[in-house]
Amino acid sequence: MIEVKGLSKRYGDKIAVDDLSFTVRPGLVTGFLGPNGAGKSTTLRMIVGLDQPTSGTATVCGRPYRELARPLCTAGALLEAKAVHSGRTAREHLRGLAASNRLPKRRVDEVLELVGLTDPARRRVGGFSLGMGQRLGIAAALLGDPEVIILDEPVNGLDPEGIQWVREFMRGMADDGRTVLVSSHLMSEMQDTADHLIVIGRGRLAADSSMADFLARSSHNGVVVRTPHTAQLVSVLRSSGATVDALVDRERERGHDAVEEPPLIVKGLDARRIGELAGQNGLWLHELAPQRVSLQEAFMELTADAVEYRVGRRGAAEHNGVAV
Amino acid sequence: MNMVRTHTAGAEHRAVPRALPGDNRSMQPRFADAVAFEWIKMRSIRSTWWTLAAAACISIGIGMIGGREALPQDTTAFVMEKILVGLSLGQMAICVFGVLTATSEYGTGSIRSTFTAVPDRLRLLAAKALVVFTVSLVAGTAIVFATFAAGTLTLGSGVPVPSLSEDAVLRALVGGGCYLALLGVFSLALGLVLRASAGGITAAVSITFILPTVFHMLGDALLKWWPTQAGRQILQVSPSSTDLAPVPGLCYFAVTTVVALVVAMVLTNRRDA
Repeated sequence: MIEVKGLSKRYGDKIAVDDLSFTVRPGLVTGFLGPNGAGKSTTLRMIVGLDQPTSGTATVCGRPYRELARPLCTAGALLEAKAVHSGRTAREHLRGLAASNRLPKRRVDEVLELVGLTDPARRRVGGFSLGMGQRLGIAAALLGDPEVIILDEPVNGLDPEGIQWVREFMRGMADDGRTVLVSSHLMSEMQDTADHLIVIGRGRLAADSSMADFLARSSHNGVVVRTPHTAQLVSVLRSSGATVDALVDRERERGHDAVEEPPLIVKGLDARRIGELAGQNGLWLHELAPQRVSLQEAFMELTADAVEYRVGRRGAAEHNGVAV
Repeated sequence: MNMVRTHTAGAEHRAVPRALPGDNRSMQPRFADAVAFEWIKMRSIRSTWWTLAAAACISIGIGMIGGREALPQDTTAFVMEKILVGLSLGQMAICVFGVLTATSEYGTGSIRSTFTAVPDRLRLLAAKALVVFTVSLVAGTAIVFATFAAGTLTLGSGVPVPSLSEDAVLRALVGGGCYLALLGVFSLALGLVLRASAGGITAAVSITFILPTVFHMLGDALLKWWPTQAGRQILQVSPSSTDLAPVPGLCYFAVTTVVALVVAMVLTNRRDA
């Protein structure tokens, strides 16, 4: 359990984290999302006591991290890949950490085995690949068999095999009843992994909900419909309580049928009901396609105004509905 | 080169033992655990051994050259000074050692692993200082005595040979080890404050070597109270009139070192890592 209450961090005039409150519960993988520069890493560093909050509190298992007597036995954190002296061997790095928290030496070999680093354990970390560095970081996080696991961008720079490994690892930890908080700016990564989402933009909380709710709430949910009887269908659907908009789709705009049969996006009714209504009214449908919203789109929508370094909103704009 | 074996997740993660044997809430980590942590970290990086070896080679090598240059008409005190001249260069390697103990952790980012493992930073830094002091004391004492031994072997015929049975000689050698130990801790404090290797080493070398030379040209008053210069007086067999006496000088350096360390600890405790 991680509890963050009114957490703020200010660097001079710049507010990195602004009055953030959320709870991370055990048994779930909680995704901590936000664009680059949103304040994710700063928040995580405050949770593990590296940075001092300007105001507010963060507790791990009910206590501020810096008051934990054996912190590695309560919370394990992977904050950056290879936060290890490059000249030290993986084993010595872990042995030092183990000694600091009075953990037995054999625990070092156990976690090395667990992350698959037994063979290169006596090599200097400087020669490790990024993936091996991440595994070493995870081994360090696991040393004290903690209840809480905190991972900052754990799949950054990993190959697909490594990403799969980290994903299964997080799943296993959550299924084991542990609290797993994982940050990422890659929304697609979270879609397959997280049960719960905490989204921040410009240091503020933008969403705190289950993955299912988060996706369901998105305005991108809907059914795409094409019909030669646009006017009739729109009135039938609207009288049944649906909202109907024209779907702006650049790809379709290029074809000529776009003029005759503009695609519609229908919200408030599912595909089955739309098909039934069309049938009852003798209206033909040329397309009836439920939209599968991606987390990326839902996220872009949510943080569109909060993204600090906006590059472009093509991904979100292309599917945005506009009124008929 | 061995490939990393890929473990598929799932069952193996659940095999993590929930309670470690001997684990209970009363097993609070002690200061000794932080000391063990710092010692493992120090001995497992090469720069520790390289810098200490460099300190030994420089001091002993120059000591042997100095011994050869001693003349029959020199006093014992002057012969000692010629033998121990290498220490003023060798001490810079001790400075590098002390600075790197702090800055190599900041440079690699491993300071964050360290502070998450031991969030009580004052305890951690006290342990770090103790390890630096002990290692510098052991290495420094060995280097001083080795320099003395090697230097006396190269003395020409008719040159007065300083003897360990003379109190002033023994005091200079034992005190010299203590001076190097304090210098290691002093440099550690500089490294903690500056957090960058280049800046830390530059500062430490300036303070122990370059600035005293400048002060020497400006006048003796400033030099007399300059911490490292005061500490070095312990190496003088016949004390000079313009500097602090050997033992008070070393004590003064010890006090300034403790002050520097406390400032560094308080600063590090307050700063974001």
